[in-house]
Amino acid sequence: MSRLFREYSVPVLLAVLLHGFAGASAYVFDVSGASSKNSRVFEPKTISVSLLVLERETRTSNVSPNIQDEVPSVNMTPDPSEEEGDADLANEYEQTEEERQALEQIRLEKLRNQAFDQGLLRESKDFHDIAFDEESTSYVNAIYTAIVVKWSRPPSATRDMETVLQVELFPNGELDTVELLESSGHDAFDRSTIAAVKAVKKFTVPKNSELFERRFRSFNLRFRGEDLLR
Amino acid sequence: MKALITTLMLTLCISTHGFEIIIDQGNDQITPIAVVPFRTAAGIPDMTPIVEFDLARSGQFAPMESTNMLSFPHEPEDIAYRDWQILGVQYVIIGDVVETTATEISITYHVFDVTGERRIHGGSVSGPRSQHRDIAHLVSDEVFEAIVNVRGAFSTKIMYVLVQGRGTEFPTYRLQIADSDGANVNTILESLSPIMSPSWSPDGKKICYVTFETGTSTVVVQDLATGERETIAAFEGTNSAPAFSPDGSHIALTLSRDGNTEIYTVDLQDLDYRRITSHRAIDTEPSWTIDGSSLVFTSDRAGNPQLYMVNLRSLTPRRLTFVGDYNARPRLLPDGNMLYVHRAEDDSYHIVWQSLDVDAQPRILTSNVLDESPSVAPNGMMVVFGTREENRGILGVVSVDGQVELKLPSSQGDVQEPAWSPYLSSSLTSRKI
Repeated sequence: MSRLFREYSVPVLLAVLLHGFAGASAYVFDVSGASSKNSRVFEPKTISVSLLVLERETRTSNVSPNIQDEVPSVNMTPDPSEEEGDADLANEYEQTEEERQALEQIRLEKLRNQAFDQGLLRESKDFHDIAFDEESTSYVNAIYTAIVVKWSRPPSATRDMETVLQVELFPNGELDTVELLESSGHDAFDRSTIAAVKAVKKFTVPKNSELFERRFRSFNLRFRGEDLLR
Repeated sequence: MKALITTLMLTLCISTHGFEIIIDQGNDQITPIAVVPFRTAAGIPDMTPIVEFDLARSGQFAPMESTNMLSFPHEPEDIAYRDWQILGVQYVIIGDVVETTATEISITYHVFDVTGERRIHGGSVSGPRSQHRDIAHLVSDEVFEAIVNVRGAFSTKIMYVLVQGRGTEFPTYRLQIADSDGANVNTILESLSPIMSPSWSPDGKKICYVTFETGTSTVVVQDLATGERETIAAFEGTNSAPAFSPDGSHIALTLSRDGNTEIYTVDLQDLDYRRITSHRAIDTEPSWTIDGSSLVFTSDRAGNPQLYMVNLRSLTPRRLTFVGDYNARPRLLPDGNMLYVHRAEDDSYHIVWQSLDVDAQPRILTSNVLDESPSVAPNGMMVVFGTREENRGILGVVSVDGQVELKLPSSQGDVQEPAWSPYLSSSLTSRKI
């Protein structure tokens, strides 16, 4: 028996691995298929990817001593591609909003039914929470991106600085208030975080008022520049 | 866009005290500001353009043109934040320049945060009318510090060598010191023989350099106030590349007195020499680390010029650069990172930035063909370097993040080997309001 096992150990192991792989991929594809129906995977359209190493970025090179003439025009007009990206994003959410809401309703209904079937009705609120979190993700990503592109740190900023803001939004996504909850201890850094939030004219928030009230009416933003050089 | 946004990370976090989104990266931009033309009493030169140019060449700010401004406030109560919000300006600077006595002038200025809708700083600087440029630079320093939390370095000086008549029979060499914006030029030394490698003492009161007045190379320390000179090294062979230690007690330099080009330190009290390197290759261009414990230098011991660091106790060099076959003339930044000259694949020479970490990658800062001799401002934010334009040497300034690069105005002739001064003491009166 043990000899048999030794002789066939490699093929058996291979077979087990292959089955495991097939099962896993089926699971993965199924899950991704389901999630694409119910929640949108956020595509980082508004972010341009750039690497730093030996690469020259947009800059005002060869500026003559009379730099005042050039710099403002370069930097003070909003980047058209950025604006476009924002608009596209908003449109996409607009187009799929109804469809997405309908699907969400069906899914929530299903979750409630399951809970009822299992005699766990009293816990349906938990399922509700999970559903909320899944739906929140795309909005969180949109808020994250909107702020990242507007967050310009002072040169004194370092990786260990951290600021927490409390943000309150109106149901249409416009900023109601922003308050400093935890200061980094550095004025310039704190100011840069508030300026970033205020620079976002309108946030993408859920039309589902229950979700909005529970997650996006008031939330915290924790700023820490992990991409900084020091 | 100078920020590096490499990945989009999902940063959803629900903690016990509420819903929180983590913003872990940004997109650093030049900050739009407005320097409103200062109200200036008749007969006093306008300081607005001086402050504006200071802030612009720092690489951190883009001052807007005054023709686009909607209002011209001079008093804090006249600031209409809405106006500046529409223009997309983040900070507004206003000023009022008056004559206090027949020879004295004074400026009162305020800095406003447009998004936060509040005044964040104000001050008053006064001094002799003849020093109006110094007064303006001091205002720039204070404004810079108020906005970015880094000390401004506009009230500093830049020393350099000016060569006129190069290629003729009698070229002249001048050691000059100018304001950090290139204005107010003063000649320290004039000679018919070459002057090289000027360098500042950490208190800004002395300089050292190499002169060929005697026919051979000599390292000299000169007191700026008295003009008194002391010869530090005049050995047979090479005497070159002097650099003051951060505490001012020693000078590191290159000598070939023992037959080979090596790096030495010399105690300025007793002129006691100590040899630091021992290698048959050329070792030169020493630069002190900020704590004074080590030197970074250029050596061709690996077959081509590369940078090495040597601790003054262990005396065991460690190689720092591995990209390219020409890396030379290192200078340390206040934060411990370094700048040096790097030859790119197309044979052009650029100033690059690199950390001292293992596997550090160099980052190119300058864009010309023949950039040389970087020297960093005491606040570590700006770098002055020599470059060439229309076949003559001029000075360039680049922000340490490479964001803004520009050329300083200069007189006729070749300008080379700039050295940025440390912070200098000011005779002006300044107070916060």
